[in-house]
Amino acid sequence: MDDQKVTQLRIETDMRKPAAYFFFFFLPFLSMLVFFLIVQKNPLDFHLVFSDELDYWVETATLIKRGLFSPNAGYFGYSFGNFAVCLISVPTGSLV
Amino acid sequence: MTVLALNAFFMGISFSIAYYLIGSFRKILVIALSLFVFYPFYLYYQTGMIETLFYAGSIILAVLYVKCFTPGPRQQSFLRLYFWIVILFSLFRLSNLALLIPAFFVEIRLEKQRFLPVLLKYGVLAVGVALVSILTAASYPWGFLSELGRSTEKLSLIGAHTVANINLYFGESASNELEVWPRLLFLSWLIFLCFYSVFSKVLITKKTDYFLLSQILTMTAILFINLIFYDLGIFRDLRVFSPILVFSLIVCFLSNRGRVFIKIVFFLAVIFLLVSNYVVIIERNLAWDLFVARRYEAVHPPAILNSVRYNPDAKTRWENTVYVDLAAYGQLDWQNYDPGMGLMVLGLEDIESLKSANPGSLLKAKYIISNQQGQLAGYDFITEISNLSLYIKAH
Repeated sequence: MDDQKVTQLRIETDMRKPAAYFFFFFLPFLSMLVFFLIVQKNPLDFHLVFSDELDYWVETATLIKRGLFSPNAGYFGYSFGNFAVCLISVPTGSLV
Repeated sequence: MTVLALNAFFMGISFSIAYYLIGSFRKILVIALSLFVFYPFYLYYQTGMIETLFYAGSIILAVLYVKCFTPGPRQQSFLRLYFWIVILFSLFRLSNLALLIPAFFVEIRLEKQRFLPVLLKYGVLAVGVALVSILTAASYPWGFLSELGRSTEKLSLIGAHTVANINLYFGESASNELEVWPRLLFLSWLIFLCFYSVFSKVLITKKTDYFLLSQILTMTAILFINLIFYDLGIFRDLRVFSPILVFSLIVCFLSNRGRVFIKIVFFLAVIFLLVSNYVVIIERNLAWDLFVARRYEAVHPPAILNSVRYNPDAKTRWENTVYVDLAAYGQLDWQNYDPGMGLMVLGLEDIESLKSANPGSLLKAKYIISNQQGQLAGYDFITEISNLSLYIKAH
């Protein structure tokens, strides 16, 4: 990389303002706040509705509390014929 | 509440990274504000679905895309980063593999790598990602791919499904406007890119613009994957098309294709946003009910999951698994859920087993929560609350 390019890169990086990072990071939180003010709902009353989001939530809770490779955590999925093939063959798993 | 904060966090990180890489406050602000008035984004922004993560990823990928096509000292690093983010997002949604097309073009056209080894590399990786995804995720039994897996006449099934999807794509038998418009916006944008690309090649540059061609091929691949293999329907394909549309719009907005091109992109984006919000006004009752009202209603579910506890000494994983009727799934007392308990939705075959003479010999899970009443052979009845019955496997 020649000196001119390095200098150009440094100038571009220096132009970014810390306040702008702060602004962009908090903008989505601000937009959510505006949303709650418009719809007049309390964010503390929020709960999940769709089965997909409920699945994500319970699976994440299991992952956090019992670990990724827990031999005892139960199966998730849709019926006996529709589970994850690799996750079924665990050391203690006896399916039949 | 945590879910909503996490959504805001993902978007905040994404905007900050985009600002770091682009360095233009004004451009990132335009992108951010536009996104917050685009309904496929803002409706899902209020949910715990994975969509917000995809939009956050789309912004970062779009910025990296522009950087990959811009010759410079860090082009290789941007390409690698783009590549691995696409691989990561493909594990969540396999069709995202189509986003590797631009990386492929950068390698063979701009970096002058040899075609066959690069093709082989991308092919092997795509197959690898698909295998990991297929082997570690449960398939959706009511989806087309499951049906295809069970079918003995696969080709004719694919043909019939594609024709049905093409009819659906243009709004025939659509139940609401919210699901139709993202398809049309996606297609309009793809057609615009095709026209502009041809116009640019014939009249202006006289050479192929791989920057635009990569997007055209990516969007076309996503379109065909959806038409051939996916299920178009209520709030399904909308979730696939929209983040890709946002990705392409941002790529073009940030490109250095000249002022006229940027102005056209901006003009089209404004039209898309106006159309999108007009659609929400038309379908405001549905949007309000599904994405707002139901999420803040006070609910008092029957306390049934508190009788289903995780057993750390279980000999098999089925001892920590509950079968749940799909109809009962939304009525459960999730605040009492014990992490580690697996929840498996009863499929059609299982419901048949449930109705059979001896369900206990056919079903594996220790618990069943169903809105079916009465005794189940092989299972002991524990309790019934608000039409939900809990059963435990008999010893």
